[in-house]
Amino acid sequence: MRTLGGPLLALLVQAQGAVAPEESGPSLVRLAFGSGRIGITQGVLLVLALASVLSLGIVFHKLWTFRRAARQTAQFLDVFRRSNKFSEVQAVCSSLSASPLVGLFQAGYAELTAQLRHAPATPDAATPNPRGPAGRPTLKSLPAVDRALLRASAVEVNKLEHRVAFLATTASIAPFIGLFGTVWGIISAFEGIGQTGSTNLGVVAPGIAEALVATAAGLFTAIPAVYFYNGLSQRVKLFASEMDDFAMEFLNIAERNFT
Amino acid sequence: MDVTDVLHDRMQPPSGLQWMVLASLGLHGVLATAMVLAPGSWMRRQPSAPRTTMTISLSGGGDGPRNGGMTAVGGRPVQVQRPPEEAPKREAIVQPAAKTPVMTLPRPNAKPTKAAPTTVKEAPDEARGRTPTKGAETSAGNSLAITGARGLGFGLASGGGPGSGSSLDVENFCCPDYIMLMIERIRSNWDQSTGATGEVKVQFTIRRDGSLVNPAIERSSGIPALDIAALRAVAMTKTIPPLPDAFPNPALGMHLNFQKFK
Repeated sequence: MRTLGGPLLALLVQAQGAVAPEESGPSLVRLAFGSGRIGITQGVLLVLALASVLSLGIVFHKLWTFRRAARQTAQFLDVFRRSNKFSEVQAVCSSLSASPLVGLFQAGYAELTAQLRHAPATPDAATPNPRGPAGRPTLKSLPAVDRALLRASAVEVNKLEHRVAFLATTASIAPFIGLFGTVWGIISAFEGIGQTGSTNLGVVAPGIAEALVATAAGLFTAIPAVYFYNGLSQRVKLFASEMDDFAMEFLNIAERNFT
Repeated sequence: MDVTDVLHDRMQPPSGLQWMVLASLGLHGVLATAMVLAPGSWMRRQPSAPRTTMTISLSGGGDGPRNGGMTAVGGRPVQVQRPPEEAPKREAIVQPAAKTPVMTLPRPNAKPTKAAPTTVKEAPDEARGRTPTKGAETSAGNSLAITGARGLGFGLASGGGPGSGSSLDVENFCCPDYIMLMIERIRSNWDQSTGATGEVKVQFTIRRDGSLVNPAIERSSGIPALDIAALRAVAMTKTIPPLPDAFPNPALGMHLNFQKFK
């Protein structure tokens, strides 16, 4: 690359020097927009910039959300394991709503309450006591609670995965978009060569270099998207397994206390 | 509150995306500004001045005639002057000084006693100072002069021994290089793995076309294994390059010694 790039670059500089005095400006930006024309290549660059901004914004948002969710999940689990009554846990749910486990708990608790309210021998159905003494209420159907937890789990996973797919899409198509811009740019560069009828490198090289900027931009967009897509997917999986674990725990407690 | 209501409430995605997109936009803006403002020299390599001199080293520090190694056949080590070896300086061993005798008055009635014969201790050899040198000595040097002269022996010998005793049926054979080549070919076919030692003389004929014919034991070593190994070496070589043009005769008789050392 060095050996190849050296002479090519030297020729490029020479060619530019022949036309105009050497400029101290930046190369990439000048290459892309220096010609002053707005063509397909510039449009592609604009699309890629938009995709890059959006995907990075999503990444920031997801990272922030996941961090909050992890912190509140830890707090929620702490409360859940220390308290004696589900009603106590329900009271803190509103302040820890970022945690996906809160959704599960609320769904399970709603189902429990609904079942116990219709139970005949229930003196205090609205606040079921997990470790209550004899005469406690009983559940009609434990599988129904399980189903409620499953539904909540699906909702929570959907919420966690929301917009992550955009990253995957960006990661896979951004290089192609960039490549499209490059190919288009090279086509027009060759067209220009045909019109001038000159194979002078001074005519050929700037067009090709301008075209190649599009590929670079595509890669620049795609690489962080791939990286963060994988990282975020992994964290979604971790949350999902945490939710499964919590559902089992909830079911166990419900079965122990209400059957 | 029904489960579905709970789930419906939970379905709201977390807010704040627009702020994060704005932050991302800002980051991209900073990056783009940095690229615009960065001096162009960061992005492109300055073409370096063409280099005018090129140095190619083929010697690489290995041994060659220029730097004192041994070269091909015919080279003779030149005798060079070597400075005399400096004998290590040794300190003379000095005998400790004798104790001062205590002065006593002789008893008036004492008989004169015979003094014990004193033994003179000779200084050890190491204490005798430097051994005188005989000046510069000549010894085998490590530089080479290409003399073009040939070694005398063309015979084959296993490691360490001098190759001695091959003779040709003609006198003043023109081309010693040819003989060396032949010997190299035969040596590569010589199985030296037999444990026995001894000397075998084999005679054979080199034809004009370079084929080796009629190998025979001229003088046996007395050990069949050695004799067979020598014969096989010649027989397996079979052909060597044709006799040099400078040699007029149609064939060349050879008598070759195979010496096997331990």
